[in-house]
Amino acid sequence: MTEMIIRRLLQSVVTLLVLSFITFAGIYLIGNPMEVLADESATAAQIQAATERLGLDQPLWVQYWHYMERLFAGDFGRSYVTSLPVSTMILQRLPATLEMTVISLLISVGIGLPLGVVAGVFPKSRWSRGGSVLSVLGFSLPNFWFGLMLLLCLAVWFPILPAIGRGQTVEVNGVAWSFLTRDGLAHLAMPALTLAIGNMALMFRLAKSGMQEVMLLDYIKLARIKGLPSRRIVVVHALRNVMIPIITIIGLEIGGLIAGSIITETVFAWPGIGKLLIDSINMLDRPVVVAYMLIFTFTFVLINLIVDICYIVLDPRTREALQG
Amino acid sequence: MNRPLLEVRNLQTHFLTSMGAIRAVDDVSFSLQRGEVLGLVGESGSGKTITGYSILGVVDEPGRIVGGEIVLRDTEDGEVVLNHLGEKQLRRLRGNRIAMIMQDPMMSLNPSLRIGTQLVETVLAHRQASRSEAERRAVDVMRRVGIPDPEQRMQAFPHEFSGGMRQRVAIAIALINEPDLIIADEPTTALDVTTQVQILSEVQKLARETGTAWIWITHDLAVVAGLAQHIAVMYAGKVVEFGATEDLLDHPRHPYTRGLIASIPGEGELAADRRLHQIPGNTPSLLNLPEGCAFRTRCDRAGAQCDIQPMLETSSAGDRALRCWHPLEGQSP
Ligand SMILES: Nc1ncnc2c1ncn2[C@@H]1O[C@H](COP(=O)(O)OP(=O)(O)OP(=O)(O)O)[C@@H](O)[C@H]1O
Ligand code: SF4
Ligand SMILES: [Mg+2]
Repeated sequence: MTEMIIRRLLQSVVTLLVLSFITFAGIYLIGNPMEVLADESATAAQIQAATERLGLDQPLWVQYWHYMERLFAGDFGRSYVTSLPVSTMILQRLPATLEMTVISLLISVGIGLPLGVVAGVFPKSRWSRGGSVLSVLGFSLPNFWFGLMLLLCLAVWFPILPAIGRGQTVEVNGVAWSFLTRDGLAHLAMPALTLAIGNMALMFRLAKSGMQEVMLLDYIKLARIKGLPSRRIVVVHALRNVMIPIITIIGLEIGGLIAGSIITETVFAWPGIGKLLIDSINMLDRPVVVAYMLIFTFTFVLINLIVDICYIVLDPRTREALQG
Repeated sequence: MNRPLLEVRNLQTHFLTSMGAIRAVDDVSFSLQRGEVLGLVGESGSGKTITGYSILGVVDEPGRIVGGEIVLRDTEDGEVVLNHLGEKQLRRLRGNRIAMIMQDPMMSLNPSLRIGTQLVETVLAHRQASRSEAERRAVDVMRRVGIPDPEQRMQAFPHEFSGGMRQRVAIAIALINEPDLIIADEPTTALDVTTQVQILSEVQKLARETGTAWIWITHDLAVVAGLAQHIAVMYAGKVVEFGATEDLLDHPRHPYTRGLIASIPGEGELAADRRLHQIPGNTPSLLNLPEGCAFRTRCDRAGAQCDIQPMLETSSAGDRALRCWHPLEGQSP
């Protein structure tokens, strides 16, 4: 297993290198940041000086080389726009995104999965069918549509939840969190729910169809024949085997959540890194964008690794294949 | 004669599908004494497994017991009608007083749970026992069914076991709570011949030792000939003949039973020769089966009367039952 983890991390280094270059080059090709950054009154000489200071006059590969040199020293560089260290900017924004995605994941797994399990155990029941219909809507309609609908309903027509921003925050070790205050939670509710709906629907469907299939298998029959309590049959015998594919999907979905957060943050003016990314792309703020992509990819690799480890824990057959 | 441990009377289990009722079990009756082995014999699809599931109350939707009674007695002469019990009461009997060994040993163990867990949970579902007590029981029963190194094997997962060993585990699960009745659903067909013989002789030994009654389901009369005291022959969801093993084998009265006996290879005969003696034709589809004897399309004795369903007639002594308008005169086949 250790060997697998090391192999995986090495692979991810290569992925990160390739991706960093593609992003770097991509933004380079979009345009010259100076055109966006310089204000109208700037003279040609001033622009020239700024270009040289940022190293933008050099060829692409030289710029990339310098960037990577600094990166390996642990320096993500400074934003072209704010001149602040990129690491500071991202760290400042990261908690907002983190709490939104984590809470949204808790909602989608915490609600979608159990409902799906029950629906799969009683597939003929009326609300199991109803749930299936709703879940189709849940993942076929786009994320931002739900965001706008929630905004309309809960902030405009019946103004019970605040519409934008993070609300009141509490600092823990210098990091601001919303989920620790009532006001902050109220602000979190809509964005987290918006982000959760698609996944909740997916979790529901996966759990339902998985359970429905497993409940017909011989070993579930034997579990019944042994006279086990139905709770144990569902949770220990059926769910365990259903969870193996679902864990993979949850892993993939966390990636999806990070991507989805970009749109949700824009809708609710949630000051997370997704919003930072959009702003930075608009300003062609290359250091921020590349850093975002690297962090995003690394998180993704890490999640996949965790998923694989869960897999090994849950499925004895993979465990053996790895040892053998 | 003592009152039987289990009595199945006119059992009917139908699958109510959108295309119509599939009468998988349609008038099955037999009875079984304590410590006795009953062979339940019939072709594929004749309703043997569903009969077993019905006794345990584990028939899947859209299947349902639509008629008849399954009566189980306990030692102190009390009796329960299994198909009138609620799920809660039935659960307490399953795996405890009545156990079943399923047809396919490869599929009936949970791939992601340790063998030990699958044995121990069967104990804990029915007894106030500590985990270590349950584990001791599990090791003990594994040893009894001939699994070597039971302490170590408890930690293994099903995929680490061969087919024969998995079947032994399934038998161990059935034995672990010392039930009064074990329904064994062709537990040896998926295995190679040597393992089959080995397991059969072990089961015979166990049956003698424990006083457990067995319903041994098979499509092969030869398997139960040396094992069972009584045999019930099923055809298309119905019991067509019932009797003491020797009597039934020596003097079959139902044309279908005679056909089954003829297909047993004799001494020194190759298994391949069996096909020569097989009854011509196929089992009819159970969906919307027409009235009358279901065997009449394959029966050489069929007459006009056979368009009417014959009833299962029990002999005056009560040890023989038959469902046929034109039975054989009990001559040797
Ligand atoms: N879930 C189901 N839905 C509909 N019909 C079913 C279902 N399960 C079984 N049946 C019907 O019940 C009939 C009897 O099935 P059963 O499994 O009892 O046969 P069997 O005698 O055990 O045969 P085999 O020797 O092949 O195991 C089958 O012919 C099938 O048509
Ligand atoms: S009832 Fe008629 S068709 Fe059926 S087995 Fe007897 S003789 Fe044959
Ligand atoms: Mg069967």
